[in-house]
Amino acid sequence: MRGKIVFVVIAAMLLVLVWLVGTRSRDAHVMPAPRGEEAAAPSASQPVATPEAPAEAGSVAVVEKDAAPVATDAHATALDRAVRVVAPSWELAAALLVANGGRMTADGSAVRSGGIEATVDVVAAERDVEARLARGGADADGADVGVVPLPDFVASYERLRALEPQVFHVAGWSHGREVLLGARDGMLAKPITPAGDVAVVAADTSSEVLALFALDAAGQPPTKVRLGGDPQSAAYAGVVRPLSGDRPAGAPSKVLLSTGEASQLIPFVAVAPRGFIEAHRDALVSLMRAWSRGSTGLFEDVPSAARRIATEPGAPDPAALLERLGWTSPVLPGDVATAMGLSPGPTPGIGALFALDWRLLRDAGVLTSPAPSTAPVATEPFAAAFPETLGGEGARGNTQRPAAPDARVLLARRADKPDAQSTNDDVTWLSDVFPPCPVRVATRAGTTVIEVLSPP
Amino acid sequence: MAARATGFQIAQRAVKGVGIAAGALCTFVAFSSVVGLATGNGWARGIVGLILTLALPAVVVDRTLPKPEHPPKAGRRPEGPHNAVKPRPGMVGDAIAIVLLGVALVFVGFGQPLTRPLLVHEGDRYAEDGHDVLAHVVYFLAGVRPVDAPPKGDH
Repeated sequence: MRGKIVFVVIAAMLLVLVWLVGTRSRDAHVMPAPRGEEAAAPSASQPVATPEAPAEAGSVAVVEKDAAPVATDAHATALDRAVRVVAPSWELAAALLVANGGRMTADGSAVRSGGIEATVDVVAAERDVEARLARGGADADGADVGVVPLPDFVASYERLRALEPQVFHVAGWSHGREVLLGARDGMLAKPITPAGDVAVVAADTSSEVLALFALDAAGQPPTKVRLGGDPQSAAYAGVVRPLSGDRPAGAPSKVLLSTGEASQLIPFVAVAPRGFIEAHRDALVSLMRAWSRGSTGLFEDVPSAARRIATEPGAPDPAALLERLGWTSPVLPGDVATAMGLSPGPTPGIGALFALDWRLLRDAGVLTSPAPSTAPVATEPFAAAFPETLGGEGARGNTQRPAAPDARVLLARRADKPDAQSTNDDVTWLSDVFPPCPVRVATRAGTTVIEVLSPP
Repeated sequence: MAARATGFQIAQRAVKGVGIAAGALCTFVAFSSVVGLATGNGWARGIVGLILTLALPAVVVDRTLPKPEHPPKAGRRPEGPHNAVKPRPGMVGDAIAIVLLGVALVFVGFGQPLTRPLLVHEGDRYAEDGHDVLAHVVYFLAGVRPVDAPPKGDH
C-alpha cells in the first residue's frame, strides 16, 4: 500500500514539474555566440574606441572609424525579454511600429529577424513616458526606451537624472509640427530691442523651445520672456499641430515660423537609462537596425503603413496619422551619424542642441539646475550598428536655393559683434538650423543684420 | 527464480526512472547555476553540481533507511530478527526520486520567477562554451526562447 502511495506522489511531482516547465510563456533570449567565434569575427557588440569624453556640454564623443576595436564589455549581456519602447505620440513610434509589425513583435518583422522582440506603447503625455522609464522595462507598466522630442527630454532630465538617461538614436526630425504664432505679421522680421518682458504661451515644451529660440535669435533673450498666462494677452504663441479648434479669438494667430523652416531644431530622440544601454547594447544595436528598416519601409509606402498602424488599439485613423506623419521627416543612418557627432556634416549635433535647449529653458525658468558637464549622448550602440556611416558625410544639410524675389524675412538677427568671424559663425548656425531657408547678411540703418528668408 | 513483474510494477519503475532522470538533470542544473554565482569555471560548476546532486539524495536515503533496533556489540556480527530490519523493496529509489524531483520543483518549477536569471546565465555559459544542446535544455527549463545573435553587419 505504501509503495502505491509513493508511486502516486512521484507521478504527481513529475506531472507538476512537466506542466510548470512546459506551459510557461517564453520570452526571446539572444543566445551568445561561442567564445571562439566571437574572437574570430568582429562583433556588433564590440564598441568602437572613443577618444576622451569632451568636457563641454554641447559636444559628444567622436568615434573614429579606423580606431581599433576594444574588447567586448563583459557586462553587455543579451536581453532575455522584449525591449519595451514608449512614445508620447503615434508619429514618433510609427517607424518602429512598422519594423515591429505592430505593438507586439510579429513573425517576419524586421525586429524579429534581428533576433529580438519589442513592445511599443503610445501613451497620452510626456509625463507618462517619464513614469514608464522610471519603472524600467522589467515592469509590465514600465519601459526601457523612450522616444521623445529632444526639448521634452531636456525638460525631463532634471527629474530623471538619477536614471542617467542618454540619447542613443535619432528617430526623426520635427518638420512643421511646432508653429510659432505672433500677434502681428513679421514680428521677428526686424531685430528686437528688448523693452521689457514679452508673454509667450506654448502648448508643450517643443513649441516653447521653438518660441524661445526664435525670440533669442531675434534679440529677445529667454530671461526677458514670461511663459504662460492668458493666451489673449500673449504676444507670441507656440502651438503644436494638429491645431486646436477652440483657440481664443484674441490669441496670436499670425504664423511667424515653424519647424518646417527650422527643420533641424527639434529632433525626435530615443533615450534609455545608461545602465540599460551598457548592459544590453546588443539588443539596442538590433533594435536600431530594425528601426532603420522600418523607417525606410514607412516612408516608401506611407498609406499602407498608416492603414496598418491605424488597426492598433487607440491609434488615430489613417487620415489623421497620414497628416501627423507629414510633420516629421525621416532620417537615414548617415544623418544620424552626423547628428550624433560621429561624422562631419552641417546638421546641428544633438549635443549642441541639448545644450541650447537647456540654456533656453533654464534662462526662461523652466529648469533650475546647470546643464550636465557633458551632453548625455551614448554613441557606442549607433557606432556598432552602423559602422559604415562613421566619418562619412551625412546626407542631410542645408538645401537652400537662392532666395525668391518675393521672399519674406522670417527672422532677423542683429550681428552683435562686428568681426566677420562671429557673423560667419551665426550665419552657419542659422543655415544649419534652417536648411531650406536662404540666410543672408544685410545692412539695415547702419546695422549689420543676418536675415533668414522664407524658402523659395 | 524471481517473480515476474506485474504491469503496475513496470509502470512504477518507469515513472520512478523518468522522475530520477528528470529530477537529477534539473537538480544538477540548479546547483551548477548556484555555483556559477561564485565562479564561471565550467569544471568547478560541473563537479560541485554533480557532487551535490549525488550527495543530497544519498544523505536523505541514509537518514530514511530503517536502522537496526539494537546496535551490535563490537566484534560481533548482527543477527537475529530484531537486527535484520530490511527496507521496503524500491524504497531507496523512491527516496532518491522524491528528493530530486523536490529540488527540481522548488528551483525550476515553482521558484522559476526568482531563479530564471540564474538559469539563463547558466544557459549562456553553456552556449559560450559551445554546448548548444545543453544550453537549449537549460534555456527551456529557464523559460526563455533562445534565438541566435543577429548576424554581424546586417542592416
